[in-house]
Amino acid sequence: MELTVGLVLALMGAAVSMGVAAISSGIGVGLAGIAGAGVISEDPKKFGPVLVLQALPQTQGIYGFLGSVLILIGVGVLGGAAKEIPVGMGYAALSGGIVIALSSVTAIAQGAIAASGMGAVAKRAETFGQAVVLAVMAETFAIFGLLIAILIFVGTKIMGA
Amino acid sequence: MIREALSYLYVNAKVMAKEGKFLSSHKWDDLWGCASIGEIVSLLEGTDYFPYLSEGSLNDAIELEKAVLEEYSDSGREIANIIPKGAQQLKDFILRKWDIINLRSIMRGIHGGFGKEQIMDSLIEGGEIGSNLLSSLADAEGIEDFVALLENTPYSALSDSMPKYNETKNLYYLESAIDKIYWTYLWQTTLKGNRIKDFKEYIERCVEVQNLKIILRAKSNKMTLEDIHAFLIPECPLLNEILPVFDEENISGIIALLEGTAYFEPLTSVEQEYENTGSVLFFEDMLDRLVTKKADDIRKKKPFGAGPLIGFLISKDVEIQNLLAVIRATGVDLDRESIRELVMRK
Repeated sequence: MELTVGLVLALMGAAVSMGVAAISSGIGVGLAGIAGAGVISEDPKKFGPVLVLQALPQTQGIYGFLGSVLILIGVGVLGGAAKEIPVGMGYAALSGGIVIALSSVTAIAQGAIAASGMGAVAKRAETFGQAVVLAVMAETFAIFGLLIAILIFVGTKIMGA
Repeated sequence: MIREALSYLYVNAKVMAKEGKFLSSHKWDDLWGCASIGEIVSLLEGTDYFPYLSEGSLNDAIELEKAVLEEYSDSGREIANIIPKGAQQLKDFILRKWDIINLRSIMRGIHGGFGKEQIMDSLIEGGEIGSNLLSSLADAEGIEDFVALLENTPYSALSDSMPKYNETKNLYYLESAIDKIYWTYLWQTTLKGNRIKDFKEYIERCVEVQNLKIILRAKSNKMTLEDIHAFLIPECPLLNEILPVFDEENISGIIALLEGTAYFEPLTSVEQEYENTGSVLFFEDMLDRLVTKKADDIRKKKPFGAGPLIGFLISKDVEIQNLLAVIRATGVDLDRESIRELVMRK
């Protein structure tokens, strides 16, 4: 496979999508994990709700992974036959990757919300549902980011060509 | 801000989990319905206090009180150990309180003529004063000896109050001096430090309340400024307006001087009760509520910083005070609901 400018730009899109999402999710999960450890050290029975809340910021990492895989498949690096990637298409793939990367930063805020939610659940177990809803709110923007990236990929024939 | 929030994440989650285990309102109803210490002990089963209860606690209110205080001290030490670096004032606030409690117990023991063993038995582990010094203090031959042993410690200023004690043989002067040392130290270290502004706000409220309590009690007992000046915590801006006219004004006049502060309306609201009974407890109770309210406000205002921790420390203190009130009220031949209304803090 020849490394053309278009292909390298697309690969950069895949890299930034996964890389930034991994950092953001890692920070989010880390924040929630610190709070979770505090709750469990005092009340190990709260492990279940704590685990659910800690898992929420991981989804942005999944979106980043999905975005990268879509780009890699779209430009023929994963599966299918190798194809010529024009520079314009490379920029489009990079744009999609950047959208996913930036919107994945919401995982940090989500981790902070989840951490506070854990405190609330530790104090009053019945607030678990509300705590999850509050944390999920931050997710919305990551979903929008993924959707826009997919629209870019479809519109520029990276996907579905 | 993010760094501060991060450093408090673990400790805040832990204290919130601890708050989740506070006694429920239903449990408080049951506790106030108890007719004996044994009943209280059985109701404490499954709570954080239960592991501290010994067989002696079943019938002995003093043993039960000690068990409750031991739990309080241990939970404080647990929190003090995980407080973020740079929050030394909070650590001091938690740990030095036990030094004050123990020094008071020893002083009362010596003053009351109790033996060393009995005094040592009343002490609660948890402060910063070492066990060797505590043991020597409990062994002191008299109050003068006790105060002399505290030389070269943060409590050496107690010797300034010895002439008053010798003159009156009233422990009030020494106890007030110990309180002053505690609050002055915290206030001055908080004023110097700039890392935890929320804690400064809280300590400022405590210092003002402490000074107001001394002032109102002194006014009620017709004391002069000269009598109380040594016990007032310095560098408290609230005193600037009051002290110059202290000897001329009565209690109403002192309260009127507080107009524009957080204290004016609450104190005015209980002034009539003071007039009817002559008891400053109504003022003191209201001032304690203002301290609790301040902690609650900080908790709400700063959910990611030291707010939840400060809120917990005060809530825990309120729970302990209420629990001690229940224990002490058991066996008292009075209407328990009236006692509850009078002493239960919220």
